Order: sequence, then C-alpha cells, then structure tokens
Amino acid sequence: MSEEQLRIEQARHGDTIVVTLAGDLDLATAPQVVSALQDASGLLTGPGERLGLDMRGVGFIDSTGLRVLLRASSGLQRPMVLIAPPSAVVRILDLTRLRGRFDEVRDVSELGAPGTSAP
Amino acid sequence: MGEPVVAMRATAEPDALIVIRRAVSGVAIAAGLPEEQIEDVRVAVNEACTNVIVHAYPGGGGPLEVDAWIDDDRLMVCVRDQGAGIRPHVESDGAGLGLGLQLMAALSSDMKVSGTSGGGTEVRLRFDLG
Repeated sequence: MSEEQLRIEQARHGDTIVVTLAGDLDLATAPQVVSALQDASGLLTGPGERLGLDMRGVGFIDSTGLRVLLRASSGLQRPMVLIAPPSAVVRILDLTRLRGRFDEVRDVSELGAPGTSAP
Repeated sequence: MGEPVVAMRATAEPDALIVIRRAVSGVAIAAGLPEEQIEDVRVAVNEACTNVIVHAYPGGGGPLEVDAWIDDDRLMVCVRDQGAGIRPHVESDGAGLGLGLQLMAALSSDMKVSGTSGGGTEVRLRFDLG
C-alpha cells in the first residue's frame, strides 16, 4: 500500500538533483524517501551541487517526514532546497521552527545559479 | 460525551496511518471545521498514532484504537494503546518524540496524556470549533 501513497521521481536541473515527491510523507512512506534522497545525494559530484525536493505534490508531512528531510540535508555541503512546498507543509515547518534549515524556492525555474535561495 | 462518530480498531503498523487520517478528516469535515483546522486534526492525530506504532509494542503491532466524536462545539479524538504507550523517553538521536509532541500540542486546543487501567496509554485531543 505504501507504494501507492507516494510517487517519487528524480531529475537533474542544472546544479541541482531534484527529487520530486507526490503523495503523503509519513512513517509508511519514509523509507522510500530516505532511499530516494540517499540515491540522489550519491549523484552530487561537486561542492556547487545541491539536492532539491520538489514538494508541489506533497499532501501530507509529519514529524517523521521532517526528520527524513533534516537528515538528508544535514550531511550535505549546501542545504537541501525545498521547491514549492504547499502551505500545509510550510505551516508544519514554521511551527517546528525548521524552515530555516533549508533553502526554498517557489518554482523549479528559480533554481537558477548556484547559491540561489528565497529569502 | 457524544457517541463516537468513528470508532476504529487497527493494528499498530505504518499502513494504518493513512486510513486513520482519512477517517478523522471525514469527521472533521462533517463537523464543519475550516480547512486549516482539518489539516491540524490530521497531523495531530497522525502524530499520536505514529507514537503508538513506534513505541507501544516493541515486539510488533498490537491494538491501536482511535475514537472521534463531536461534543458540543468541539471535536474530540482519543488515541489508545495497550502497550508501553508514548510516555516520553529520549530517542537515540535526541529528536524522537520532541517534534511529534510539539506538533500535537501546537495543533490541538488541548491535549491530555494518561495511563489506562490496562497498562496502556490514552491521548485525548480536543479541537475547538471555529
């Protein structure tokens, strides 16, 4: 059942390896996300590259999901960039004061040049 | 206390979470909660259930009970287990229960955690309407 709850894709956008999630990020689907982010991290080839998470399709995230994101980002040279997190996700990030741990852009098109991040 | 609109008995395993979330969302919608508060209910109840799944039964899945009912102008959700429960303890990575409990407290109008006579734990969440 967990495979139906979450779809995961991966693509490169310039210097960002983007993992796209569609579905719910919870205890059931966390292992798939951990695996996908580990795989994507393994593709980073230099200090200017970074990991991105396209969250447009994320319908649910909880503390388990937050910890997955934190762990994925913590080992990297640049913070993971969250792409278009929905308002429900932003609310949880704000409530837990974890939003500042990540970079954030509103759209894939904003990934742009290395070092880009939304205020 | 009103009669439970939803009374669920599940096995405490990860795949139960999405079913429980959808069921409590349905009760919240029927109670007329605004959308943002429906999200709050989903997350808070999910956290309580996740704690049961992760902590209550070290040997594997046991009973996970979730009751949801409308009581005057509030939505009540009760999450119960018969195991070790969610009495806070330190996770090896230091971030285990902190985030979950923080979210439950922030997203509900009131939260009560108590031991049950059978040795388990009950988490009672209140969501005031409007």
